[in-house]
Amino acid sequence: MKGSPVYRKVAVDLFFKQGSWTMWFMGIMLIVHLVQAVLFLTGNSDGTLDNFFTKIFLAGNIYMFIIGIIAAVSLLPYFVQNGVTRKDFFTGGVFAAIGLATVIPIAAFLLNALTEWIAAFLNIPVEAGGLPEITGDPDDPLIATVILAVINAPSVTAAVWPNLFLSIMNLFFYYMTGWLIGTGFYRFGGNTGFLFIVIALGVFLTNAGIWGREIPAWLPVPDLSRFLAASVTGTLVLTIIILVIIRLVTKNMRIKI
Amino acid sequence: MGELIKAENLSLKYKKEYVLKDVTFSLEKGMVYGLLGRNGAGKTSLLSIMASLQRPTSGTLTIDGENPFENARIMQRVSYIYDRDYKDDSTPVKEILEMAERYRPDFDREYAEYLMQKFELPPDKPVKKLSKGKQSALNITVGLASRSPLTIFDEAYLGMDAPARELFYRELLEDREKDPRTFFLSTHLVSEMDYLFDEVLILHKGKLLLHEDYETFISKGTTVTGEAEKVDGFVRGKEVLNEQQLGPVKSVMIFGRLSDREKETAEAIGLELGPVKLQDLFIHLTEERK
Repeated sequence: MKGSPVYRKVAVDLFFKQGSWTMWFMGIMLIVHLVQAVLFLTGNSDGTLDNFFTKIFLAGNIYMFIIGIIAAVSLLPYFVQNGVTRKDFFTGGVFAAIGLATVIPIAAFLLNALTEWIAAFLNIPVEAGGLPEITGDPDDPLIATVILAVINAPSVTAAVWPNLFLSIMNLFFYYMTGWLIGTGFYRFGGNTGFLFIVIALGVFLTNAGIWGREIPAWLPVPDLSRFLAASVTGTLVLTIIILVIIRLVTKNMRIKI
Repeated sequence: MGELIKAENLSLKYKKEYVLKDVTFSLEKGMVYGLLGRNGAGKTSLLSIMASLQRPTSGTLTIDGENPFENARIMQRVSYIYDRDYKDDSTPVKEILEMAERYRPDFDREYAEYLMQKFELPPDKPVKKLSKGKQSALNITVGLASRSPLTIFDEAYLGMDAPARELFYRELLEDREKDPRTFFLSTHLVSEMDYLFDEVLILHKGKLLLHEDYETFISKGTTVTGEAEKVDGFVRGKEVLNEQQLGPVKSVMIFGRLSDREKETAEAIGLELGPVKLQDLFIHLTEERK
């Protein structure tokens, strides 16, 4: 690998480093899923059992958001101190995130298929459903709308399950939003850092609006959900805007020691 | 051997305060430079600009004729070793070395393993579980084994005991013989490390107070030893750095070169002239005058 471009090395290293965290995440989610299934079977749980893929679809977004923050706050300084340029880290980080965003839904899909196959094979009478429709109400307070916009990946309803591309796009979008917040706090600290949280929440709400979710009436975001391609384009444009901001903020950034 | 680093009117400002002001110097390849300065003199700021961790507010710094900031060719060949905080880092020791091996083109694995053995570093232990001294020894192992053409040690020995520090100094000198490169050592342990330096730079309140060849600098001061009365008479009117008396014998360090005539006089009245220590000169030059 000595001869390969630095950003490629960075991409590979970040992919495997974060990949090892991801294995823990998926493993814990799988245990949660199995415990839930057992409770469900033994009649200790009312309500419905959502399938493993759906679980990962929702929790995976938040997971990517968090490791995006870590990438900005802890991994960037570490790599720069090892002689990697900010630019190479940025490029490598983007590729690694695409890799993770691709591997997670595929792994979730395979594990989901495996759990269903085992259930069928052993004749266990458990049937996990897809995602319940979560909708907001126009009268919801702003904070509720915001939280819903963050935790509930907007493309879920539009997704033809399992829609791999939408999953990848969502996971990548959440990772980059986390990276954005981490970058803001790392570079500017306290107050200005907080501004980046506001920006990120704005991004989440905008994205929710694009996908036809409930957003505050004063936010002029067009509902593009009638056309899947339009919504997808909207999310991609938002992601690119985030990437540009991250690059501009980190371009000349001081590494604190 | 050719110029390696050139700083011209380098300044760094945080908010309204200058931490470096108009620093200008030119450094040759293959030397060991000692960077001295009191707390807050701007040492770490200067070194972090060399390591591309930040940009100067004004002025220029070039390494090998190029601006090092975001310059992949330069950045991967400049190692900046400082007292890193590992308290939340559970990375195993060997992974930290693997990282250096991957991104430092001149890294020597065999040498790293040799140093790990010498410093008794456990390869599988999470770095946060190492003692402070061992964490520093790990940093130094990374710094030496990376064999970077410019290697900066910024108070890198913190927490290391005397034998470990000795080992560090010895390895630095020996490995430099094998693989000539430039070292930049920032330190408070002046009296312990002075023999390592080829040249000395002193920063004081953000300005470069002095950049001189070690021997030339040392020869600026003289220790005069002999009978107290004669010594006092001889040093009258001179800048005294330090004095000590043991019974009738007095030893006084003075700043400034002696003329040949003065040297002859001293000899004639039975006074002994000797060198001063870098530490004493450093203290003298940077002490607060009231």
